[in-house]
Amino acid sequence: MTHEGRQLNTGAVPIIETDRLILRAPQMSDLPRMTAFFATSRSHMVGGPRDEPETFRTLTSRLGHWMLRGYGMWHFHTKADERFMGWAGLMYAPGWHEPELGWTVMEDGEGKGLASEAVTAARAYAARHQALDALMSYIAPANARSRAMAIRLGATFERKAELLGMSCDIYRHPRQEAA
Amino acid sequence: MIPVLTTSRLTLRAPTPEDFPVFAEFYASDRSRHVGGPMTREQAWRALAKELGHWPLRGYGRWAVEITETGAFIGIIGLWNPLDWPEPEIGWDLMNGFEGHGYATEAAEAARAHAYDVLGWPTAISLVAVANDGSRKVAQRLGATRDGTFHHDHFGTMEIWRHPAPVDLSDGGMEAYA
Repeated sequence: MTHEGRQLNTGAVPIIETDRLILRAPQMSDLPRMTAFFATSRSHMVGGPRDEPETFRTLTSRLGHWMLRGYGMWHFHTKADERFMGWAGLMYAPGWHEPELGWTVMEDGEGKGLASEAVTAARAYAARHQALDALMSYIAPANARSRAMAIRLGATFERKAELLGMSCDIYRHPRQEAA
Repeated sequence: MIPVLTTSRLTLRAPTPEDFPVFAEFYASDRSRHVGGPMTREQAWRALAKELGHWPLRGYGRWAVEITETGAFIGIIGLWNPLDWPEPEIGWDLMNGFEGHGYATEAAEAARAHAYDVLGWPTAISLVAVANDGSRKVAQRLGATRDGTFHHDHFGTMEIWRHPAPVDLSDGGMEAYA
């Protein structure tokens, strides 16, 4: 009774299909791979480390973000083998300057362009359906990999800023072409 | 997805963004010290999001409780089961200024009836921080009895209060909820 996960309608979260990925709601079955990620030093750029109960709370807050805002963070898995590979989408809580486009890819998904594919789809969806365009991303100054990806996606450095007492760089994404 | 429950004075419904100012004020205040506070607005916003996100993950959660007559949002009460809880819990947090009217007891009874009658829980507990006398009184009014202690690294030491089983409420209790 204590550990059940439920497959319930999370209709607040739209499903997006790309060439290789499905972007969909965060779900209980993502928890083991999320927990493994949040146990590593790779998670230090995005709020880690966290243990399994804290990671469960992250799952709940991501779902609740969608329910409160009508937009939020998608989790994505590969179409070929339905393996959970990371997240991409929007985050906007008190203290944020504006809605942020963020992403993380699991270690075994790095270097394959999966994060770019997910972020490109999330960014286009936000512009078309959520009236959120020319989005910004917070990049920790030490996160060279994330900065490189932001630049690859066409984002440009806008200014230095502070988020929750930590210094970060704001990168601005290009306005999306009308489809 | 989040059902609406009603009692004689209260309506239990899904939390909404409009509840946030009152929710944040509670979590900024010292009254929240027994339930993980005080916390910043950013943390409180995430806490409200967690209340909502618990519903799709577990199939149940906590409701925002309002006074039916006035629409005032007065508390977050319902069924709570994060990964590090000893077992599913009936929890109640009254917002500032709404203590002393029996609202927590009334809403928690409705939540308990939902747990037993709709979800089929065989039993239920409530966790009460050791210094939270007001919350302990609610547990006692609901007929719960002490059943050990639970220590949580963040929330501290809590008393486990065990509610009467469904069968023990069936004489005279359940009709009142129907």
